Amino acid sequence: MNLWKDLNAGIVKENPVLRLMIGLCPVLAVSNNATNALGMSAAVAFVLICSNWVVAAIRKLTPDEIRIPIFIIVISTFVTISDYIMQAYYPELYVALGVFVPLIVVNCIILGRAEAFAYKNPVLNSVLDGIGMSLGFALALVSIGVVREILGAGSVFGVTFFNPATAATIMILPPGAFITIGFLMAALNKLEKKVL
Amino acid sequence: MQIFFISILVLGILGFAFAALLALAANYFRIEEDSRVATILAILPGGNCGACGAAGCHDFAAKVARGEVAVSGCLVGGEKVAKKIAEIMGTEGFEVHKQVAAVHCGAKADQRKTKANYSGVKTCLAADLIDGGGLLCSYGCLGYGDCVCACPFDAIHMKEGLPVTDSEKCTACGKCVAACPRQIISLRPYDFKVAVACSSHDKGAVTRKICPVGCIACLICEKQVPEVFKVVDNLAVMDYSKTGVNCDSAIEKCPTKCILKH
Amino acid sequence: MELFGIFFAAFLINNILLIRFIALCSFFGVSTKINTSIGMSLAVVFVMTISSAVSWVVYHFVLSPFHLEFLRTAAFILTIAALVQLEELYLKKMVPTLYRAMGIYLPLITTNCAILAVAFLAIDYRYNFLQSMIFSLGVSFGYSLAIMLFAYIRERMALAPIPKWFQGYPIAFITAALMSLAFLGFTGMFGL
Repeated sequence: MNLWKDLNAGIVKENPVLRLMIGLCPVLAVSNNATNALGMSAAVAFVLICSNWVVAAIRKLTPDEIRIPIFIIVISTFVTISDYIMQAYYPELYVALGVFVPLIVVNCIILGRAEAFAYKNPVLNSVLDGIGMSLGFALALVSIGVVREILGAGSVFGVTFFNPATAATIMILPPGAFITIGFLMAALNKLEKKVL
Repeated sequence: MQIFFISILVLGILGFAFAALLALAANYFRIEEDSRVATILAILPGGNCGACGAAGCHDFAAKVARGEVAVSGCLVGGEKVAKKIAEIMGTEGFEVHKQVAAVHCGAKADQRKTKANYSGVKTCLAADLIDGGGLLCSYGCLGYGDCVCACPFDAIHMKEGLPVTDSEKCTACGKCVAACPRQIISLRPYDFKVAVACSSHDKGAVTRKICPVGCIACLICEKQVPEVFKVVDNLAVMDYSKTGVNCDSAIEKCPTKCILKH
Repeated sequence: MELFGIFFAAFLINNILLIRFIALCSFFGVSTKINTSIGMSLAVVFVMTISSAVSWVVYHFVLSPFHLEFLRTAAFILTIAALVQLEELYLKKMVPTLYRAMGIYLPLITTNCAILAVAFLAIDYRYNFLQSMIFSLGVSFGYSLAIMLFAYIRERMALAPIPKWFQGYPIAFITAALMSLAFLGFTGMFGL
């Protein structure tokens, strides 16, 4: 069924981070521990689903020439909303994510899906696509976050497993992010037996 | 409530201001371009290869529109493009000489004798710099395919270690000629389908030892077809201006079979 | 001295690409060849300095007086998009060589995270106008440095024997990891 395919595509086959290679900035920056990763995924999910919904709803009304600025205005509205919700209810998460919350506006995933999918498909399909892509994004982001947190701080979601002093601190520093995602992509290449 | 209206107003004014600024700028910074340039540009192949001598397709189109360069200047586009450009420019009478790349080496990978094992970077340029890639022949093809990489038209491919040109795809842009560090590729007229597959200036006795298909300067081709073939500095060279001359006897009688028909 | 500190911190210590992870999509996409990297760097330097200046003005003279700071996301992105378009028109007419050197990277910069990030960071750090200009200069130079270094390395890597599953992006990421490690060594320089 078409709806199931729209939902499914974003999770593995067209995973935005690992297959389509878009939206990398937050993946590397906020994956230093699994809690931040989850928080960022939630924010991106909120913005993606809502913006896909609105863009699909107004797609018949938007003139083709100025569609990109309109998408951006819609997306920035939802980003501002999620920004302030986070500031109010999850202040530690907000401080941890820092400048990456407003940067969701220019996250390639959201603008890309609005342009490539929501602009051309009905509301229900677009929302499902948004859910699928967010799940895929969350999957990638949280798995990287878990790996980095375990290796770098000896904990998962804040629950300590072993002494952080003996952990490889580099994993929670910038180089660790690059290394993790490099190996993850190599592993995926091997699994899919195809070099991207 | 008040902030509701103020925010709409401010954002609206900001958007309107930028839009107005952009509209003014588009007007003020408008460039008057000869409309023919755009039409010509659309016809050109668009590879920006520089074979015409201009700095890219846009520059060539501009030069043609100004009358600085002949309509047949685009070697890649060939006769088809030259005809269309001539129509736009309203001119007639032009000549197009189609050329293709010819490789002057006939030694396949298993025929090349080596004096050392080369294990460096696998490009012709690098190999040539490091004692000729360990090959005994210091003039012949190294086989790492720099020419293949350079070709923007997919017209040259490696077969058994030797580059082979596809005369239909080749546009004679000259990129392979420039890419070869040993300069064994040159351009020959499309119609003259013969080439000497050797570039070695070594004396015949030396060449015979190191390559089974090298030119040994035996002068047989020069005796058979003296208008086209001349042996200069231990190597047979062809005069391609003598189109129409039959070279079959030279090809047949060459002892090392280094003159090839394409 | 303080301005030098801001510049140096933005340029090397908190390098926007390798330490802050901003603008990575363009980093990996554009750095396969050196000339495209140079074009991209030029575009970034040019756009970032002007955009951060105008964004600063918009924030402090339009949004703040009306207590509309919450509109900054929309206002900044509007400013940046309009500015990029303006700059493209200006360059095409006035400095066509530079325009052609930048190629398609100029319009592509609108969605470059770095431009927006600099605008936000300048507000968060409460810089005055001059400080935010120096800051954006430092960031854009840091971007250029990182991307050009990376391009040089990647061009060499194209010739190296890399294990099959690591070819392409995985080895690029690991290279970036090593570069990032090197840049981490700048932490604490000059007490910054």
